[in-house]
Amino acid sequence: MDKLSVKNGKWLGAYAFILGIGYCAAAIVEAAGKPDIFPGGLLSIGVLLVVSATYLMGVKGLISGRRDGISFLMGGLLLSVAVGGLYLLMAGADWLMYLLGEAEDFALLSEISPAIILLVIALPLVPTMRRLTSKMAW
Amino acid sequence: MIRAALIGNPNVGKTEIFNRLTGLSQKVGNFPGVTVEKKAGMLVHRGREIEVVDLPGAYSLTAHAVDELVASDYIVLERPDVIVDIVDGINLERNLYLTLLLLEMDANLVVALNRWDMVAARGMEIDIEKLSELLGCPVVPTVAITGCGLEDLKDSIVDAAGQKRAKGQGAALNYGDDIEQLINKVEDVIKECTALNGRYPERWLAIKMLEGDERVMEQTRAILSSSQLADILSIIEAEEAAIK
Amino acid sequence: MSEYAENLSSALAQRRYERIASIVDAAVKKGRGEIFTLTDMLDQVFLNKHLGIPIFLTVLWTMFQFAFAVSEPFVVIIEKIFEMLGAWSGQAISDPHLASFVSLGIFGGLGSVLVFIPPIFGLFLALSVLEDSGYMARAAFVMDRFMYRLGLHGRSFIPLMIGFGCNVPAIMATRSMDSEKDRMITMLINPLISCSARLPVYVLIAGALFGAAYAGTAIFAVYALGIVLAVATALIFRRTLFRGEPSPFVLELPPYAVPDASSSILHMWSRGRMFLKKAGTIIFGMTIIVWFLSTHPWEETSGGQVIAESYIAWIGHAIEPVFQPFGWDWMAAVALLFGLVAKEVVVGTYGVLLGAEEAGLGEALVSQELFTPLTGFAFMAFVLIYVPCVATIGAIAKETNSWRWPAFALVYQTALAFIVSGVIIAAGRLVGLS
Repeated sequence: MDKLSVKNGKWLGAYAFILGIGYCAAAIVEAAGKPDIFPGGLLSIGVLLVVSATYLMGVKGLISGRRDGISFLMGGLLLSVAVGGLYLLMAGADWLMYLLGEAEDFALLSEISPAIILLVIALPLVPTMRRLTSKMAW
Repeated sequence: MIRAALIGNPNVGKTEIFNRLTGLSQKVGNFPGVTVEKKAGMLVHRGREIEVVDLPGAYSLTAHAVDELVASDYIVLERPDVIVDIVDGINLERNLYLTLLLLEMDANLVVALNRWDMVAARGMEIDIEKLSELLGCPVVPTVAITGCGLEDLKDSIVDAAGQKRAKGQGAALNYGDDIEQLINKVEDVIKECTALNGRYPERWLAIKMLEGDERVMEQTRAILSSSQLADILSIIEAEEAAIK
Repeated sequence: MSEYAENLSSALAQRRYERIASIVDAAVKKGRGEIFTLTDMLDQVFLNKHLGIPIFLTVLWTMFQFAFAVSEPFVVIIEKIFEMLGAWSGQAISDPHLASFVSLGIFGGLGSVLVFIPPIFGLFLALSVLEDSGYMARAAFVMDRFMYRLGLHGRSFIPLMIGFGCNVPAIMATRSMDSEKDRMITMLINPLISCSARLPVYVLIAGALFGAAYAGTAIFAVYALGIVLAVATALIFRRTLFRGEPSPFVLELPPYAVPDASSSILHMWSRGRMFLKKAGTIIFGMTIIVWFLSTHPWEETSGGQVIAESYIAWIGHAIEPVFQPFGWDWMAAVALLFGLVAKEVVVGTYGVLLGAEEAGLGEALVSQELFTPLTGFAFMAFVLIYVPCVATIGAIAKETNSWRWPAFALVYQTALAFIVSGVIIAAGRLVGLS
């Protein structure tokens, strides 16, 4: 694996920090958006917070150029893909429901939830991760 | 029809290999008399029909766990034509234990060395020919998740079925003079017993008795005459103290 | 005899290991040392002391959301197809008996269960992917610390997770546990883990009574209830019937791998196939019986139109008093009765009973005012808890080699079901709900 040069680490650390804050913000937005979120809504907020925490835990390691920083970033990316992917699929399902006539409308804007946006923001990191870990064994 | 059985440690990719070999032809049932799941399927290779049975994953073949007992019984009683032992390339020490036990049972063995990609990725180098020579059976590198090496594996299975193992060839393992002597003495008594004639591999039976395997002891008590059994036990007890 | 055996066994084992060492020494040329792998890196995150459990809960949530929410449109598609088939066969077939049998019995009854293929298969797919990726073992590891405090053995985690799909393979999976006591506890609490067979009941009732906004929450509440009850019951069993400390937990963590699509699908298919087989046989058989009972005597019921005069109504009214305190009517009573065989039959029974209506099953439930949100939720809880289905009873009997334990499970679960439903209704009434 490439040694994390200091410049590299700082940049990745900042990126992870932004993503971490982003997911946190998404959780707050979600909480504010619903009048009574208890209890089912708690879960979707909790999920966003977990992803946020994963990214944030890697920031320190990344800035110092340590390997565990990369680990948390990878874990965070996997979670982003899982959660963002899920919301994408759910948006697709909603669209299908609309086509089938079961839903009144399909509000594209509201379907693009924070989780999806954050996934898109996180995606550019994937090639970087691949490059960094290309020599590694599973 | 060639009867083949798959065996190996848990989590080595046995299921993937079984799926790749049998695909949708697989049927799920039970091993007779127990609630252990038995998966079997068919495959055709080089014009030969091969039935593949998936034995439960096991680290060893003792009488303690139902899964291991089922696997052991199947091998010893059903005598499949070929046994494919799936070995995890990155965990050789742990996996080869079972392999040695299988060789001891005179199994007509083909070793599938799985996770070959990971072996390479870790910078390990395994000399396949040497391994094969030391074990006394063919070794085929495979990567179950991509299917790599599986055609070679199928070739090996058909080839192995064509050459029945000579009895006793499986004794790749010499336990050392003291134990070997004891084994031979017990084997001699076993060979005299006509009721057991050829039913079990003698050496394997002797070794099991040395280990005091409950299942084997129970079964031999039914078959051997009480004097023969007493002979064996006295031989073992006499020599046992000398072995450390 | 065993004195010599111990000494010899260990001597033999030792010689074997020596031989293995020399084989490996000769055949492996390079790089036998441990190196830092991607698996180790990911484990730094997924097995992390603080993040481990939250990540697991996240994965769990994602799994269920995937199985329920994403499969919805497919459920609707299948529903529409069956509705059309039901209506068409009702018109097209001239013989009234046959018409009723096909449109009501088959498409109405069996169809009402088959619509749930998407979420059930979705769940199986998710479970397969989790297993194939290697994450499942990490989840077991991470939950073990927590489960230990609850008197549960970490190795029971995977059988319990499998229970979300179906309790039967879950009970068989307990074979991997070596402590008998831990194994018994896991087997006995397993039926409390809500299996995929109960899903149709929850979706039907929650969907009808709680509306799109809260249905998910209600279903989640039932699943959570199941888990809480399983844990509580495990604790009680630990203190009473199966005293002792859980044995230490050793688990092998396989390396992570990107799950191969075809192999996960095959995995999902082999599990889902069991459900389909069950549907084609047991559930189909039961819905035929239910159909027969609800459309006969033919004249009195004018071919099943007037359900109140049928045999099934007679049976229902006979049992009804038991369930009256919960606010459930005779239809609920028979649904529960036939649900003993397989829990999907609860839905299948309603499918036949209400199939005489044109509207969908959910709407029928609402329009006929069969349940209120309170009684409906209590009903869901009852279905969650009461008796393991016949197949599960069989599995427990096989694995424990006696009829004592399945009988015990039957009794304790039924009692627990009545108690819990009773508490729910009482609490609800206290708060002013009806």
